[in-house]
Order: sequence, then structure tokens, then C-alpha cells
Amino acid sequence: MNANKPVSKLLLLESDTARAEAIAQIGAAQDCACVPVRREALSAALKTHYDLGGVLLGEDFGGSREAAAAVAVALEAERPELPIILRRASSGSSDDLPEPLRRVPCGSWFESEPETLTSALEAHVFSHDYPDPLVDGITDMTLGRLRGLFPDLEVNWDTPGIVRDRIIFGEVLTLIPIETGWCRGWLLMQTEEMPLIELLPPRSGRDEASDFRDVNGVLAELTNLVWGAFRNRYLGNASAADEAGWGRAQVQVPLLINHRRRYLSFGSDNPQLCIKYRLTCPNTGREVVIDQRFVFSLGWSREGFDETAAQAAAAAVEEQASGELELF
Amino acid sequence: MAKILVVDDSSTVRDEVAGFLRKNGLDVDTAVDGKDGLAKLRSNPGVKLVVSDVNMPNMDGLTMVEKIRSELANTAVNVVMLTTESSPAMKERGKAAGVRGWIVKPFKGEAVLETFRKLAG
Repeated sequence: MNANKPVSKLLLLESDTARAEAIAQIGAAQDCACVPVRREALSAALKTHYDLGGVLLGEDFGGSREAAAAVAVALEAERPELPIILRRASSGSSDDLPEPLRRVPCGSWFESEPETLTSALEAHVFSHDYPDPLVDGITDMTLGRLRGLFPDLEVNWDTPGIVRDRIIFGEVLTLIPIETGWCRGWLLMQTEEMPLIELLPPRSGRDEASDFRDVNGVLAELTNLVWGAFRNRYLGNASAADEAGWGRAQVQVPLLINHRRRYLSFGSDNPQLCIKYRLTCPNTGREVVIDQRFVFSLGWSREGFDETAAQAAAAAVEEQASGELELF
Repeated sequence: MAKILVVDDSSTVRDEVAGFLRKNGLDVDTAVDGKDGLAKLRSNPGVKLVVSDVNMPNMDGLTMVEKIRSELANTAVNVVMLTTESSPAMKERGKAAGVRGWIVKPFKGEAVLETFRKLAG
């Protein structure tokens, strides 16, 4: 392992000891510390290792595919934020896998092609690039804002991941700068127009149906709310930030957008933290996906993020108090 | 004449807040930024309560409050900020400008309705 790089701790769920050792070696080369866990010790391990970066699951862990599928379901219920990477015995179709093994893992790799594990680790183990508490904080604040804006919809989210693509998703996107002492870049939110229109509630005092203007307004407001929550939680006192020089004009690079090719470049290849939120109408089953990306293209210092557990707990309490009137 | 002026650059927030207050029997007008809010207060000095965002283009909410007190010499109107901002420094600036209350978004209408009625009375 590289002593200068952060190490991600992964649960290694394999029944065969020799195979587990071989996988652990591949993981170590990718700065991942693998912790082998037996089936009967899994529940305790999830409670003990709260700082996990992911799970490597063998498709026959526990003795069969069905047993492994039950483990996937349990992991999804207990630690939904953890990326699960499934080891496949062969590179054939996944159609013959039990449904949970097709649905729950965010990635898979093939034993005969070890490089596919390397690619999966790079793509899905976000704690390499972004600390878990930061990702937890971002998802908490975004879920809170989504539930406030869409009180009648179910809100769920996919396991966060890392992307480096430059492809625009959906049809509408917002961008707002993020400036702190330890990260500089953009918050991007994107979605599709018609699925969101279909889920928007009727506006009070207005008879006509929702249209693209409402989508624009809602996505902009959601972005504003998340941006404000991010600033309040991680930037803190604005004047102190100004004194530290964070608020001053700094280096900028142009964003490049090619509409024809749905291409968007932020000017650097820094990994983008990507989280997808799913809004679902419980009555109709209609769904829309909102794709959120934190693109720290202008600056990122993992060491600069120093939120303590106590600060995180205080922020959670403050979240609960939002919307209340404070009279002076 | 409207008793409450809602100032926000987001049409989503303007519709949500103004719609909720109107549904509860209050007279409401809206403005799209601080400059617009100042102009509407100038033409309607009977407004009793301003509910305003902070971060807006053209003129931010706190600058608008400072101008309400200085340029319009209106010290009677109550101003409540409805904003994503929650930093102590920002609130201090608000207090110094004569802001009466502060709400960190999102807007929860039921929680503030009675107070708004009193401030607009």
C-alpha cells in the first residue's frame, strides 16, 4: 500500500480462505485493507467496523447463491450506504443470479479477470477519495431538503459512487460554486424534465398544469437549499471564512459545455462524487432520478475536512431545527 | 393593499410562501429581489411584514433591509429573513440592520403562521 494515500477498509465475504487471501492482495495494491468475516460474524462485524468503505461479496458466500443473496439483502437493509462489489465465477450473463444479487451490488468483477476488481474498486469505493462522514453529511442534508420539497413522495438514494465521465445526464442541470478552505468546485444537480413534471404537486392558487418552468424552479431551489446547507455545515461562520481568505477571488477555469455531444468538462480529471436520489409516487409508482455531483475541480484537501463526530451530531440537531422562526 | 411582502428570487419559494399565506387569509404581494422589494415597499408603505431571502441577485436581502431603514426611513415594518444562511455573523448583520426574525429554509408554514399574523397585524 502507498503510505501517503488514504486506505479504505472493506469487508471481505468469501467462504474460501485461499481465495480470500488472493483477493486481499489485489485490494492491498489498491490501498484497500480487506477484513475477512465469516457468515455468522457478519452482523457483529457491521456494528464494529463503522468506518467501512465497502463490501466484497462472493456470489457463493455462505454456501450458495441464495445464501449470498440473503447476505446482500441484509447488507442493504443495515448499511445502505456501503458499495457492494460482487465476485462472479464467470463472465456470463447475470440473468441466472438471484434477484438480490442482480439488484443490490453496485458493481461486479470476474475471478478470471483480476483487473476487473481493480476497476470496480476505483469506480465504487468512494472513501478513497471522499471521507465517509462527508458523504454521510451530504446525503443527510440532501435527503432532508428533498423530503421538505416533496413531502408526498418517497425519497430513496443509491449507493454513492465516483465518476470521471463528462457526459451530461438528463435534460436540466444546475451548477453552483462550492468554496471552502478545503474544497473548491461545483455542486451539480441534473434530472429529466417530463418525469419530474409528472410528480410535481399542483401549485396553490394556480389552475394550469406544471411545466418546464416549474422543473427549472424546483431544481434551482433544491440546489440552493443543498448549497446553503453545505455552506452552513462545512463553511461555518462567513466572516471567519473571509478572514481566512476563503471568500476572496481565486483561480477559476472555464467550464466547457458541448450541447451537441452532451459533454461537460470542469477542466480537471478530479473524481466526481456522484449520488442518485429517486423520488417515487407511492400511488402511481412513477419515479424520477435526481443526479447530484460534487465536482471539486479547483481544489480538494482530504486533510482539510475535519468534522468531528460531535460536530456532526450538532449539525444533525440543527437540521431538525430548520424551518423554525428565531425571533430577535 | 397587501400586508405582507414576500421577497425571493426563486419562483418556487415565492409561490410556496405566498400561496400558503394567501390560503390562510393573508394579503400578500411578492418581489423578485431586494431592488424590487424596495420599490414595492416605496409604493406601498402599508406593508407590515416583509419575508425575505438573503442571497438574491441585484440587491441582497440584508442590503434591502438596511435601505428600508435608511432610505425609506421605515422603522415600523417587521422583517423576517427566510434563507439558507445560518451563520452567526450573518444573523448579527441582520440584527444590526433591524431584522426581527430569522428562519433557516425550508419554509414550514404551520410553524410560523400565528407569529406572521401578529407581525402583520
